[in-house]
Amino acid sequence: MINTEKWLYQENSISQQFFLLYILGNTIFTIFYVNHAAVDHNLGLFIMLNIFLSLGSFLVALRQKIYRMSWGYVGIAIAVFQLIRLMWIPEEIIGFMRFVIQALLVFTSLFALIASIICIKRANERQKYVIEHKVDLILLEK
Amino acid sequence: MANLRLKNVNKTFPGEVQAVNDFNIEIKHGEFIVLVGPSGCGKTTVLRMIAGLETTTEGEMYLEDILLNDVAPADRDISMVFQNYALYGHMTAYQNMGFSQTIRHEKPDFIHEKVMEAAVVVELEDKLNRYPKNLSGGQRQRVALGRAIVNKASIILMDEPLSNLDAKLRVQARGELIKLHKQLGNTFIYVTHDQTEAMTMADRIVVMNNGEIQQIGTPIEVYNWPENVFVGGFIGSPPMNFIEGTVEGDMFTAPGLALTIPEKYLAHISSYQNESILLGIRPEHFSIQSGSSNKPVTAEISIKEFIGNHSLVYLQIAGMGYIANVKQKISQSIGDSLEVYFNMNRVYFFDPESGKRIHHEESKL
Repeated sequence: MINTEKWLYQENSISQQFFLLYILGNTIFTIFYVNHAAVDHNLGLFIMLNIFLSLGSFLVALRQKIYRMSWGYVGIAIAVFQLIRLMWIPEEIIGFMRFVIQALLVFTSLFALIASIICIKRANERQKYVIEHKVDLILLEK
Repeated sequence: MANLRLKNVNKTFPGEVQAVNDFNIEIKHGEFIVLVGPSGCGKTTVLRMIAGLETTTEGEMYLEDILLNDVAPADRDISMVFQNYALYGHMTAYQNMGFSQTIRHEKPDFIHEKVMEAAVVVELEDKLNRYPKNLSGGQRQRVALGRAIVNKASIILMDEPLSNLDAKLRVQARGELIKLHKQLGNTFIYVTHDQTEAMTMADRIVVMNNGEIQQIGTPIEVYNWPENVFVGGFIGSPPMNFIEGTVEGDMFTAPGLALTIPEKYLAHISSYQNESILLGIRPEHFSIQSGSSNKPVTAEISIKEFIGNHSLVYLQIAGMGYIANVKQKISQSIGDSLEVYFNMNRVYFFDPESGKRIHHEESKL
């Protein structure tokens, strides 16, 4: 049986770590993509998008660490977006590199999804525990 | 069960600074030992050597039969509470308390169980999510204690943990520490320069000066039967009065004083006839009411302090300063004369050269 009480005090570091893995995977994906895609104005937009995505994902990781359920849903949106990007891989990237980039997108999407599902589940149970046990909110004050 | 034995322990710092000199003690499991002495007497160095934070220059330390000298601090089964608590500012009280278990990669459930147990003991259940900056001094001290408890070490070392607290909180924390010691049953080794802390908390007190043990004993033993002038002067507040004088027959004479020595002391100080001797008398062994076999001595009041249930009077007798602690409120003013009685049945005689107490068992009070 899971001891939910510990989530009142311990951080949700597993979600955070999965989201950090997402950031790492996405950075590698970006590097590979940039090295193999054609140099045009879309590449500039792609780089900017990934910089913002990395910064945003870091924020998501921090919020999920403290059991913010809404940020779990943001994480799911990022995971879905990562899957959508599978359709945007340029045609000039072919062969093994295409496979690596696709794999990176799938894996990073999985990491973001796992992190977010864990966060939502734990945040839910934590909230339920607080209500059921009438936990004084002063207890949760930092 | 873990008895700690320190055998001929010495510590010399670079520059031939002898911080600890020939330190010997055997500490039984569950004892509350207080190392007390003035600043720089080596008490913290002893504690740090036990913790493994300092190496010993000479001597051995045993925990049961295990030689500790070369054992790493983490493997010594010893926890330490520092003077400044050494809490991590970016971690909550809970995380600070569980940190030792976290770095040992214990499971979250196990860590939670240990931290919650410790939190109940130190009464911090509702403050576990707070950062140290949002806790009071007393609460931080309890977090540091909780961290030591979570470690489940046989010996808990404490380096002046109450020194950062205000006077009221310190009294309260003292009581809590005594309660905690009874509850846990661990060995506590506590360092302080505050003799009141030592007297109120210790099972045994180790009085130190200049890196050497001056006396080891229960608070009553150390107070009532000081081994030497240093212990007599250090333990007790206000401190013991020392008067250098001469033994002439059955009289002790000093400037402005001629006091009859009770028969029980005479045999022990017979070799000091017509020679210099040091008499020690605690402030509470003066009185302003007749009752002593001695005649009263006329003294001049230089300062008087009414404390509430007693008064401290600073007296001058033939140019020598004395402190008396009397039960009555003094009606005389500063500069007036006051007749005081020396309770000669409660005095101590010391050798003026060695500083050692001359008589022993017979003087037990």
